[in-house]
Amino acid sequence: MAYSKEQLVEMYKIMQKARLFDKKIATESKKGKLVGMFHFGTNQEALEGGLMPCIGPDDYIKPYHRNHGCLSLCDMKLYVAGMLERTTGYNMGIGGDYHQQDIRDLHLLPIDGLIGADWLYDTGVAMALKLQNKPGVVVTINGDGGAQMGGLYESMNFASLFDLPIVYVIVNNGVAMTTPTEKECKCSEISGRAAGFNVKGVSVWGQDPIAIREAMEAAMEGARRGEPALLEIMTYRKCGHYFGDPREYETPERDARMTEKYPDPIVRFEKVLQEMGVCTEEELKGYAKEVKNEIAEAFEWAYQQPRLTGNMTKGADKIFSNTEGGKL
Amino acid sequence: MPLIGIACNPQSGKDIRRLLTAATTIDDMEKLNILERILLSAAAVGEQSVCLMPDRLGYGRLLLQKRNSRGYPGDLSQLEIYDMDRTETQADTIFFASEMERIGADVLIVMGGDGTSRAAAKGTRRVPMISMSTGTNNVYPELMEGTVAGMAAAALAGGMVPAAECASPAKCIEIWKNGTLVDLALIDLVFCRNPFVGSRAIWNYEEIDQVVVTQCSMASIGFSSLVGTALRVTREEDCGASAEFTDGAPNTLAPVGAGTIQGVHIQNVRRLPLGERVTRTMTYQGTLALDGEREIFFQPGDVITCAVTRGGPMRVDAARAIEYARTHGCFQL
Amino acid sequence: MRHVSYAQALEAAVFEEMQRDSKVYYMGEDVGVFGGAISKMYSLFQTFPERVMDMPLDEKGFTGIAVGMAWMGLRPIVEFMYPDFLVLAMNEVAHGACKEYWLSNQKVPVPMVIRSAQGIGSQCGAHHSECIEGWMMNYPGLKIAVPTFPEDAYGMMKYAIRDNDPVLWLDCRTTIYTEEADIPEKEKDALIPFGKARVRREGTDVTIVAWHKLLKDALAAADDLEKQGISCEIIDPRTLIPFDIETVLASVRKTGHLVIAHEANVRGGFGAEIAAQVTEREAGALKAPIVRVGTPNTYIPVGMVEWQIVPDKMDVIRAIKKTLGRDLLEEEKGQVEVDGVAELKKSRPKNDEA
Repeated sequence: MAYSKEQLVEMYKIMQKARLFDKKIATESKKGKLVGMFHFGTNQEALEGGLMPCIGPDDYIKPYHRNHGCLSLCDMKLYVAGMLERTTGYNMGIGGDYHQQDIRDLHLLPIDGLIGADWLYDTGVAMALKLQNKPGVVVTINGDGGAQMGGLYESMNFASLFDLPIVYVIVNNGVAMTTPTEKECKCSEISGRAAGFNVKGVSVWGQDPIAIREAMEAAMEGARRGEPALLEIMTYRKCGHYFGDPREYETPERDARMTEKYPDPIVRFEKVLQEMGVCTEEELKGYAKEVKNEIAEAFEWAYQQPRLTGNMTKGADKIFSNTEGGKL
Repeated sequence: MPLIGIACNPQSGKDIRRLLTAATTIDDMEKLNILERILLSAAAVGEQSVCLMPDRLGYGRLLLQKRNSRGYPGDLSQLEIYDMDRTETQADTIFFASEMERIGADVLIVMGGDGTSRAAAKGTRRVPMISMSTGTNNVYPELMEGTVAGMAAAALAGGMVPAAECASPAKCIEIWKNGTLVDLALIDLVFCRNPFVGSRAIWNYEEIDQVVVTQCSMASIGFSSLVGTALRVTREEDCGASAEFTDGAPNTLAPVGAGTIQGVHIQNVRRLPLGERVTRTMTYQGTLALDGEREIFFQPGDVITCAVTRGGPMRVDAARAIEYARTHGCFQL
Repeated sequence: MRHVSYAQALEAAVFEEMQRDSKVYYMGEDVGVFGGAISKMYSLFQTFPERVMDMPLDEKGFTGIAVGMAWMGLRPIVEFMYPDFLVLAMNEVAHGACKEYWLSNQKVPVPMVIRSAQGIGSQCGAHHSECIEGWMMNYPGLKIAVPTFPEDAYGMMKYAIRDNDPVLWLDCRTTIYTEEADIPEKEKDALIPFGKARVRREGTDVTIVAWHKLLKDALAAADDLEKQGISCEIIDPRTLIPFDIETVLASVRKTGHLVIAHEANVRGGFGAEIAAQVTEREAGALKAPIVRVGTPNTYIPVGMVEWQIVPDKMDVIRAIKKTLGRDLLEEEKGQVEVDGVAELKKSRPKNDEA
């Protein structure tokens, strides 16, 4: 189906948000204003551009640690504040960059620090939706590294056994931290494994947000009627595992080959939009600027917010919802 | 030494249409098994060397590992992985097929769907080609057991069967955009109202404007079967066909895709004699889908021309090849 | 009041809670028609076939699913056939269940109960006989219940299901089939909040904190020692987290001696935590060092020899005499075959074959 200009611009802005947010973190880190570990998804932004617009108000999403484009769901100021250990941010600032969550209101499920450990929880969320006859689909994302966790296969077994409304998304960017996919598994594509569980699995080229959106819409439509799906996004991470990673494991030859196969999705999409006469170059620049300003404002606001202290996270009432019955 | 080339498309049989329908999935491990069967049966029929197209997964590497493993009962000694740069796109298949022609391969086995065979055809129209279906829409390739493909390829490569006895040029659709030859399709060309290449597959059938085919039958799936609802054109007949589709009230049922039969409104159906050029000046933004995949973007004002010709690849009838070899005593011990 | 076995008390508690709240689910291996491998709660599946869910043999899997369900406000009870299998789901319990309330900044409670029966009694050896409170107590967000008697189990299970936090519920495999008691008819008398210890026997010479099998052993030991003029005060903590340290401290102030007995391994067991807390707060009241009783640092063999590995009544008696500085009687010195093993064996099929 053809998308409207409004939809296309939304996709473009989400992709820019993913890229520019990463860039902002890099800038701020270099200034020494950020501490902690940050993971970027450079060259993978088409994923969020195609996926996020498919998430409706009833749906649940669990991004992974390279998905700053999923910020389009959040109030960016609160997210940045949470990231900067500010008490006014999401989760009072205890979550850092990737534990931020809001299951109740935003339907944003928590990322587990153990990569790939959260497949099962998210399948449980889908189970709850199904048991309570609620609408909505759970979308849960991990990388090709996380796809080696047994939990994914247990999850797919449950999802197909109970006809759960869930879409598993695997971002296959060719490398898990520093280990290339071919050293992790004998299959080049993980989607083929889904068939063994009676789950529908497909691989999609990950540099085109339209391709991802089409696949995602199809997958969610199936999931809504109880046919879980596994969607593998084939892409290439053009940055280190964490900010500051020198990428010594990547050879220039492989990098050149992969870059040719997986070109910059933003540049590519800009070209498509212009070629189709949807946007002019000036318009696109304007959107990017808009996003950039939003990010800058969010950081500025967040820096002014009160800091989290250790004491605020301690105490029985932080651990237990019910502290009746003496010392814990 | 006889030479067999094999291009196995790792992407075939995996696209988005699996999400929408119950389309067949052929995963990597199944393709590996098929490859192994081809190699084993070819080696049993005659001596030859086999060049395998390299790919990201490394089907060849996995087969060599198997060969070198202790106690492996078969013989895969003929196998070689062709040395070429990979782009991991369909350009690999095109390049590999042209290389096979250059180094004088006797036969080329292509594993994939209509799209894969089309890519191979763009590389060579001279090397006899056995197309095995491991794709989604498989009108051009044949559903064939790997053992049979291996036997036929070995018989052909080993000179047991003259190519003229079992291979003939297939039909294709040549496509020009604004006067330049841009591409070819083996089975169908679809004028699609969706301007995005996107995930390539077409599943929203309301977007289909016109379909041009080299062959069609209602007893198949895909876009050729849309035209097949009105008439039948066989592989052998020297003509193609064309039909238009509108959003008018459906006038026929059509098997449009795996597991999907729906009503469509078909009109202006006609046979196209070989070589007749159909020219359209486009009035909307859309894409041309070739053998099931959206490929070429067009704007209003673009002039698209197409013609059905016999300019396709040399298509091998594997059963006929084996039968010829048998009746000439090639398998007798 | 109704007179029931431990298993019946639990079944009644879960049944009544499932009736009261449609968000309660019971899930685990073979919990459907078979009624569950621990205590055969047939009535649950018969009455709530939709909410009693047979799970694939995948502890990690169904625990993870239950965690997700609990995040969404459902109240799953997860049955583990044996608590040893909890290692398979450690990640799900530790990160999914325990940390979520804290990580979500108190927005998302995780109301789930993980239930299993621990310790010897099944003669199934090293992979089926472990006591796990020692390695589970280190997760700040987990409550641990260790009821021994039916009347406690009934009220506490109702509380556990209604509680908004993850609860690790451990039954005692050697007493689950033998204990009987009266439980209340009316729900309003029934709830027993966590964190309240129960003094099972009052005494003046020595305080014994024990649960599960060792609580039964301690009560038997106290009967024996009474004849020798030693008066034991026995405390059943009922829950380890939260732990009712005040009741223990009050008792120690009175007796000046403390023995802690549990079936779990001594090293790093919950007894060590109790000993540390008492020493920190009431070292002055102690007239002699605290003595701990527990399984030595080894594993449980298959078969009846399991009874010779875990501590028993005689170990409790020797521990009490050690802290009191009293001499052992001749029959208290060596390893003694446990009384009543044959009886236990006899009484068990009553439930197993039902």
